[in-house]
Amino acid sequence: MTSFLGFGDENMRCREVVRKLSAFLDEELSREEYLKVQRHLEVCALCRKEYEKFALVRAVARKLGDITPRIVPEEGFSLERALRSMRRGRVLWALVAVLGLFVAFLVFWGWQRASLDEQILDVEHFAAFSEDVLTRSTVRVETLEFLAGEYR
Amino acid sequence: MVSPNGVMHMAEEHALPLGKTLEEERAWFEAQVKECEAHLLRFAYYLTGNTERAKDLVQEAFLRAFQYRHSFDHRYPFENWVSAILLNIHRQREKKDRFLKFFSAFWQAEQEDEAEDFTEQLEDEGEGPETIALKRQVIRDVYRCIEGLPPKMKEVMVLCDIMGYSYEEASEVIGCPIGTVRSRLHRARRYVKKALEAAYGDELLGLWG
Repeated sequence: MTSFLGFGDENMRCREVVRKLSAFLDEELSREEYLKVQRHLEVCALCRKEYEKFALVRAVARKLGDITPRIVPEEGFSLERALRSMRRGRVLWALVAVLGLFVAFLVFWGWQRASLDEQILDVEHFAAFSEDVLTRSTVRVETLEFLAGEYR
Repeated sequence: MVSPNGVMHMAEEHALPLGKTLEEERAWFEAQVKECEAHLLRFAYYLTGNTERAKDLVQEAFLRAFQYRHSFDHRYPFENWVSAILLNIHRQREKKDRFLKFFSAFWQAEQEDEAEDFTEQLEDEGEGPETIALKRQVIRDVYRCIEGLPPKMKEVMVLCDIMGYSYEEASEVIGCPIGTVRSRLHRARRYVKKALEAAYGDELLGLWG
């Protein structure tokens, strides 16, 4: 049956075929699908052109993989060395953490000291204030008593 | 290892053939590492595009693999397992880089490194200097396109096209279904194809013999 949209045969439309071209190139399609795409490519020039472009991209990328960049590990991986550097890193981090904690403690201590001083000042102020109030109230009581005596 | 009730434990069944001591474990691990180091270096190079970062990435992947050696399942190749670890570390680093890049306007300048031209290794197969120069140019363009791909597409393209993994192996390394690998690879190739079409136009098909 010819498809409704676009060129097609055996229920495969161009759009579907193009979507499967990549997997077709890698032979990662089911046998049935593979044959359908293959048959379509035999008759559809547009899709064949697309196929060739995909094939080109794949071939170039494969070639890219073949020409390996020159990466020569100087000494190769040594577990001993890696573990040592990891331990060194851990020690460094532990030192940083201890230092951080110490600084935090100093800041906290200073703040506490400052706030203690403030509190002492507050208490002194309060004492002065209450003393004042007491004096005043004593004076007031004495006045009241005097007035009461006069009244009597 | 079979437990008293006859049930084979998964973890024990596929545990490392390490032997008993730490020394034996290390010997086994180092033997495995020697086999796949070059391969992983290539993989890391194509992911990062930089030799130094590739070496660093491989180093960390091996270290982490050694730390988690007891979770290695023997039914799968060691190489793929370390590749998966390497890819995870690479993703974490990318995320960190993106974060730093966001906050540092000068990050781009710091990131400038040597652009290695390894296309010199492309051998002349009696095609003449012009053809070989053109081929080198195409390879360079494709490499640049792959570098510019979104991370997920790039991973698949590097694994399947450059490293030559099958879809199944790639799905094991990436940790996603085969269908996802298929669609990502298709999109990645389409992206590269479009870029090449834009650069070379109708001459594209004649570029590669």
